[in-house]
Amino acid sequence: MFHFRPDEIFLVTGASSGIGKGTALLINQAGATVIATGRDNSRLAALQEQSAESNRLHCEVKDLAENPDSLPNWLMDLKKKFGKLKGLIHCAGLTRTEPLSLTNYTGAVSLFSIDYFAPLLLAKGFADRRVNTGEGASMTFIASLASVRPDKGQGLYGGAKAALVNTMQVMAKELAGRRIRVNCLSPGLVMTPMAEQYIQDYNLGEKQKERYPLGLGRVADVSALAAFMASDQARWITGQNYILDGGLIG
Amino acid sequence: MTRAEFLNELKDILQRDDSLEPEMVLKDLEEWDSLSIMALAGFFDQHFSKILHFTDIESFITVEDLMIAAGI
Ligand SMILES: NC(=O)c1ccc[n+]([C@@H]2O[C@H](COP(=O)([O-])OP(=O)(O)OC[C@H]3O[C@@H](n4cnc5c(N)ncnc54)[C@H](OP(=O)(O)O)[C@@H]3O)[C@@H](O)[C@H]2O)c1
Repeated sequence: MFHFRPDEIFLVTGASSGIGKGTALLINQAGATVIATGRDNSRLAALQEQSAESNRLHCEVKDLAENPDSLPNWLMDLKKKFGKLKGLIHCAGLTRTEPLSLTNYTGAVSLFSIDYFAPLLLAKGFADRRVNTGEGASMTFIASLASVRPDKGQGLYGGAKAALVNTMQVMAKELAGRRIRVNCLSPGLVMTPMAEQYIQDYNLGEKQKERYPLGLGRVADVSALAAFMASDQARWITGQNYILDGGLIG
Repeated sequence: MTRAEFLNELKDILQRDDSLEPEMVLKDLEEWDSLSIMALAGFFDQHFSKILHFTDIESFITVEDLMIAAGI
């Protein structure tokens, strides 16, 4: 379907779990070199064990929310260590469901740190000519269905993801001249540890399943599109926010 | 800001690996594009309180012209 070369290096964030893990393993298997990041060394080590091509899968521990302003320099360091990056696939994120009545500024800033500021500053770092491979390079961000159709309790989360989608469009315009593509993928409920927690917390199991005509999403449903978006076959696609929602529609 | 500091800042704005010299012609630089010009306008505003328009910046020929515009 899609093939990558070993000299095509992708940074995959959130690679220790869920969608990021699935995507890191998929593009690694398809030939790419992957820099896999997360906060937990042991979870990343488990990922490396699962990889069929572990010599092309490098793990880097980094909390992306701690100091987002440090991220451009971090990307520069990764480039020095591994070489210029062909792609950024940003899957790290956090969901929090809370009604307006529980919302406060401190909590909002902490959620925005990982769901908006981190991808914003990662993008700044990636867009630096000294960091990316130039023509054909790409960034793909996992946003969420909540970026366009938020549910009750998703004011903050949906707000951060909507901000990400909006900024992604600006990046796409700014970087098109350099032939760098930028897109978002916005899934509905995908069965990952994050979603399982959400379903358990709110006792939503059967109710959620019934809402999705094609059933709940699987990691592979999202990682396949992420890999395609990162490949040269997507060369004419930029500035888009792809909805994957199993037919939920409205 | 000294001339050496300016050259260093400009290197970062252009996201360039190699160092810059005053006599270099801007249009010959691989990194000289509309996005760099936009970033340069912001840089002049922030550091020298000078509002430069796109066409002002485009009319500069060399790196030296930029330093003269910055008053250094
Ligand atoms: N699952 C869904 O239903 C769904 C739906 C729509 C959108 N999404 C979005 O898809 C993305 C991936 O979600 P998922 O379901 O795969 O979640 P997940 O299984 O919970 O994985 C989240 C990943 O993000 C990383 N992460 C969280 N905070 C971080 C931080 N501060 N610094 C660095 N890494 C951090 C985690 O790494 P650690 O090992 O450090 O914890 C983990 O690898 C998220 O952006 C989420 O909002 C998910």
